Amino acid sequence: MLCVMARKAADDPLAPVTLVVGPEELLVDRAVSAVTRAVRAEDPEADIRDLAPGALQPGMLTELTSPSLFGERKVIVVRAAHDLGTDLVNELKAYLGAPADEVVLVITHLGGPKGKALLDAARKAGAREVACAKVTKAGDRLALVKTEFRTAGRSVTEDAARALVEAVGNDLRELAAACSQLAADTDGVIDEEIVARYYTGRAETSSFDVADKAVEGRAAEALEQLRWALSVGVAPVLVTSALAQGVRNIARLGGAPRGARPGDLARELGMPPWKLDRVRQQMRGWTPDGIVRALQAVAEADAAVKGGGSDPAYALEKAVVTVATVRNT
Amino acid sequence: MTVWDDLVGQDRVIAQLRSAAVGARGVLAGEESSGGMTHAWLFTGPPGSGRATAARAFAAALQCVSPDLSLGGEPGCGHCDGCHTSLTGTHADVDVVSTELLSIGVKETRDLVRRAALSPAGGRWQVIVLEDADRLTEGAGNVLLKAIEEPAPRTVWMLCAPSVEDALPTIRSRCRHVALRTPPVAAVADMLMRRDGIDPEMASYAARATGGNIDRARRLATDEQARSRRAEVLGLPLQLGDIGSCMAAAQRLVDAAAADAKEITAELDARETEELRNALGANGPGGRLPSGTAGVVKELENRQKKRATRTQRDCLDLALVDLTAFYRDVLTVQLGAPVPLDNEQVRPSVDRVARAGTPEDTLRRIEAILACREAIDANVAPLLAVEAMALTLRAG
Amino acid sequence: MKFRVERDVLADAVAWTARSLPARPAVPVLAGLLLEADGGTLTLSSFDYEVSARVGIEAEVEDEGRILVSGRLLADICRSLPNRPVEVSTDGAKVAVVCGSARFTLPTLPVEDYPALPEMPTAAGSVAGDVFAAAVAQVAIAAGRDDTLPMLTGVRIEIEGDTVTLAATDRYRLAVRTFLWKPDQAGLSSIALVPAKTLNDTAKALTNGDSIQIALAGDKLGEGMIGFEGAGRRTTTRLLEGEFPKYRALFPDGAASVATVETAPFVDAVKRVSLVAERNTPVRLTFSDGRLVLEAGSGDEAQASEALDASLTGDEISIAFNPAFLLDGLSAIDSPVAQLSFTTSTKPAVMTGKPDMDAEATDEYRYLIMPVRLSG
Repeated sequence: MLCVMARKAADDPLAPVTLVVGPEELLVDRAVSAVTRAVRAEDPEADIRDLAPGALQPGMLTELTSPSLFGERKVIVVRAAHDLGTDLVNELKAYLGAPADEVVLVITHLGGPKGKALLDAARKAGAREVACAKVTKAGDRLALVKTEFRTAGRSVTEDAARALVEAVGNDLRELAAACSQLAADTDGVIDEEIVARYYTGRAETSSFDVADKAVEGRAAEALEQLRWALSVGVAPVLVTSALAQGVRNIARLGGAPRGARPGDLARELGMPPWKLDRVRQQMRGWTPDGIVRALQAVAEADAAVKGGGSDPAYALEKAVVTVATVRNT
Repeated sequence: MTVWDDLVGQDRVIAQLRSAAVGARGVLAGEESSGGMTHAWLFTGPPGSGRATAARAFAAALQCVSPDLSLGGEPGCGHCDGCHTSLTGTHADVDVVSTELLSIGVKETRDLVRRAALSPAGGRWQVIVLEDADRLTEGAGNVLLKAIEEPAPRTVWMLCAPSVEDALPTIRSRCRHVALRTPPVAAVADMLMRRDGIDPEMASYAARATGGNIDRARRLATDEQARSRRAEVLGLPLQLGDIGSCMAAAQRLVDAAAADAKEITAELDARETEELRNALGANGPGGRLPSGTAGVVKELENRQKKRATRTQRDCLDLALVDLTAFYRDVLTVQLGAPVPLDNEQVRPSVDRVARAGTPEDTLRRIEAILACREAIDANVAPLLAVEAMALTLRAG
Repeated sequence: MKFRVERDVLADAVAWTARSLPARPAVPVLAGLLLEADGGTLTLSSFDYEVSARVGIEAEVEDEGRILVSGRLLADICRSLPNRPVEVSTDGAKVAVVCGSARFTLPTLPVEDYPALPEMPTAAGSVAGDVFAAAVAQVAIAAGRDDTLPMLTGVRIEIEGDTVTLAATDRYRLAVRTFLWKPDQAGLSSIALVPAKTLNDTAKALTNGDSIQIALAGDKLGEGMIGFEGAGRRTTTRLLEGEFPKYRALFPDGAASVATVETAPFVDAVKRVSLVAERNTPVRLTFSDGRLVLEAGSGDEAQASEALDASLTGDEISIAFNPAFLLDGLSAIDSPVAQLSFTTSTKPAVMTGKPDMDAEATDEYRYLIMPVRLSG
């Protein structure tokens, strides 16, 4: 069996045993999924058992590694192997001495002194090894951020990468998630400004604040509110809905007969009297043509945030800016 | 009557399917496959052309047990037990799968594949009609692909989609294609007169007004309220005075479509619920549902809710199609083309709008309606999309 | 339609037919029970698109006819009827059930929409009901339960002259049973793949008759169906299409060792030993001459071992099995003595039964079980 292992190239994810060593969870997860993906690619019917830490019980391994009458491929992932008891370590060692055909075993291990016997045994048995050392230096985290963006086909400025690491912190998983989010939500080179927009200045705001500022023509404030709103997780559809309501109110009040009683008007337009006053304020400066363009911009943004466009955040910004600037045209 | 009666203006398709149904009988009798019978079919055609109707008719023809068959009759008599239960949707070997969901996933498809592995109960063909094959996810498509590639000997798949491009490429290459067209107005009018006893003038109006969509034409011809809602929709071009009235007109159009949808679904919902309660025994001496059946009724209600959402969207889209037809009439008048108007009954409005603008304006307006339909299809809030459209129509 | 019938006869027939009503009918009419009065017979039927059930009972038919009523409602009503003759008659879209002083009116369902019931294929032969039910139960335990491979959820039935062979596998074990039956014609040869759960339910539901007829058609119309009939009760089941794995080749040609153990103490010992271990922890069996040692658990966790008398011819062997699969096999062999044949500890083992230690093992039932890997 040893010779079988030796035949496998060191970076062959289909090696009979893969040892994923190190505490960096993000890298561990990626190493494991590289193996399962590779096996699935060979045998789509493969049976994949990813055992959470503690899920492996004495006696289970033999059954897990046992073939069926027909013999399809299997992947068994033993997580946090450094915590395994002696029995299980012995079972695993025994298995390493005679790995089963058609089974790919993945063992994840912190790499420290704890449970070192298993680590040594696996290395001695010729297991393929993937190092997932803790990324401690800021420089390494920076490198990771750059790699993440490169993998996503995007470029990032040095300053932006640094700002992101500072804003998000040391957790690599969160950092990777932030990278993929930025890559998905933005266009062009990722610069410091974009990072700042997404990951700094988190404050409470709502979609209606955005809409109010926009219809009042305060473009800069509206844009700022929008960025905050998105960064605190306000759903983009709520923003378009609020914008639409804002423009709609102005259009309908503008079209209402002059001199109508406020009470009747409120009922007719379906808004509370206090709102009527606010809308009256907001109406100033709006022209019919402006309303037309504003509403069309909001409709476009609504399509974009609902999957019609590749960049919902940008679509929202465009709509907010349009609403805030077309009123005098 | 025959099973093909509901297919209007699809002579070529009917000929193709009839030949296949005859060939299918040969296959059952142990002959070589002939007449173009095969295991996987893809029915395509624009909305209202009757894709699902064609698939059901073909399924019924495959299940026909008419005694005339032995006298040389053709399968698809339309009244034998096999045809009747296939068309009603209760035949054991005709499984019509329609979805109210926006996509069909792997889990649902696995279940279909399992059912497809069963032999037919009636010893003929096990037919699975998938009405919304364009909604299969890629994963689901792959699950289905295996079943289509290696079908059980008596299983026939009938997939329906608006166009060939809507089906996954791997799947469509394994299907025999049945292309339906929008039925000609005359054929629809003829059918309304023949089948529903509608007078010629009304039949011709309804057929023309609905552009060949049979179900809509029938509703328009038989339902006064549907006609008045349509008048509401066609009134919109004259109600675009100022911004406020545009917004109000948009609201009315959306409301009219919603009312249409509600009428369609309410009628259907009530009938389905009554049938189910009856079958479960709720209308017996006790007058209540036997224990353990409430879940079944609840499931039906959930399905009905989802259908209502979908119907509402469909109705709004149809209202916009009507509006497009109005502007096409406007264009016809502006260009002086010697063709009949779809909306002859509102010719004064058409003339007014035609005089007030140029053909270029009209083309831009038609574009705006198309953009609105696309926006709603992309999930834009319907009222917002229609408002934006109304404002563009006003600007011209 | 109008007929009179004995209360118990009707109630039994309704209850039996209603058993196959679907819990979640795909279309409302499937919740209905079909009543057909014709000549001196009332026929009751139900159908859920996969299984149909039909029973004919003697009735005094005044007006012939065919109606569909809610099956649940009719079953509820029949249960509550006093023990007097029952008169059932239609009145427009309603049907009245009168029994003694009790009178019920229930609505009918649209009978014209009810799907055609599958034709009962022509009978192919017969076998004692209990033999058949036992054979099916022995095999059905090994059938697969997940839908990813539909053909593994079935039991394969092969008929070759006067021999019937049943087989099922879930990839980890394979059960094969043969029995003799009385074919209606010599030289009959036929194959069917029947959904296991359905077959098991059907076989159990028919055991009250002496003999059941199995109908497995070769003629065109009934193709793809299998039918069973016992004591006037008939069911049909749709078959699974698809290639069943070539299972005969999975049985090893010879055996390096053959062990014989009394079944009952063996079952008890497996249960006891596997108690200490986690669920499905393998049980290791070590056979040497005169002795079988069972062990489960290892290292620090609870361990158990037990020794039994056993006879062994051939090489000593140590082999481990999933205890649930082992117990399934031991209970399915249904014999006082179990015989296990091994080639190696990594190759499947064959379990068979025999009436006593010295008897020749029969190949009537064979349970092939894949061992789990023994390491170290």
